Amino acid sequence: MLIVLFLALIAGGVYVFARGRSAGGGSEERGSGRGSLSAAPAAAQPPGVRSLKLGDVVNHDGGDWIVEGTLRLSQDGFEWQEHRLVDGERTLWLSVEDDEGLEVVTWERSRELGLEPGARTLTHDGVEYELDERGQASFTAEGSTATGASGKVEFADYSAGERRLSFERYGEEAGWEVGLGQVISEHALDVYPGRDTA
Amino acid sequence: MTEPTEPNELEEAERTERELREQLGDLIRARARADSEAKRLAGRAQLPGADATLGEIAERYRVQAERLGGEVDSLRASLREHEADLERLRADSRGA
Repeated sequence: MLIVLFLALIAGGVYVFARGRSAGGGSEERGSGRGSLSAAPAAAQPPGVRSLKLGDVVNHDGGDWIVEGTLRLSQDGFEWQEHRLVDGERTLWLSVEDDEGLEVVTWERSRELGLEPGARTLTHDGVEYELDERGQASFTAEGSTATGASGKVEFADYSAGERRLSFERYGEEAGWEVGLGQVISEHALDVYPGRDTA
Repeated sequence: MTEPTEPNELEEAERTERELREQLGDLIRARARADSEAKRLAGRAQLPGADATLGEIAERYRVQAERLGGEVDSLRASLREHEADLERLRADSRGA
């Protein structure tokens, strides 16, 4: 069984390798007459963080992070996404909010920071954060997110300049998950999209 | 004087960029799978009574992950070169 799996992976790798070779010399391929713009109108739009989906790869800070889970959240008609990115044994969360301008934040989550939301200000690691918002949102989950498929999440968001401190609780019985975040430029990310399967 | 860029040339270049990015994503996912399998099997190979071939298979996965890593680097370099070409075409197009 293991040998069969191994051979299948090798075959997949060879296929990917061959495809990579076939278009790897991009400049030679230009003007080769493939498809028209009307046949692929999305080609003019570079893949970006706004349209991330499961299986996409995000190159950031020297790592190639694969989108393994996505939470789509909404509150009073406002929507945002939180993506779980994995690079080997490392996990990072990426939130994308487009409300009067795009805000992209990388997050490290933990249950062990010993913090609870509630106060107007919270101090962690010498940084004083101010409460921005507290509320409840609906979510749906795709892929691996360690949440249910859908439900409600209670949250409290604090900020200090470009730093963020967030609390999320998926269900009343659950404990608070604490996230430490850093606002980054969308241009700090390079997206390698998965192939559309639709 | 710079020749105006043919619209089709720019469109083709944008499509090629998209394809390069998709291929890069394919390679990175394949590398991640091979790397994960190599680590999983190497761990199992250490268990008492483990099949003697597990270590060999783990090593093959490790070598494959390494080879795919080389391909990722190569394709990423191609993408960077292509992005530079694409920016030049876009600049030409804007100036046309």
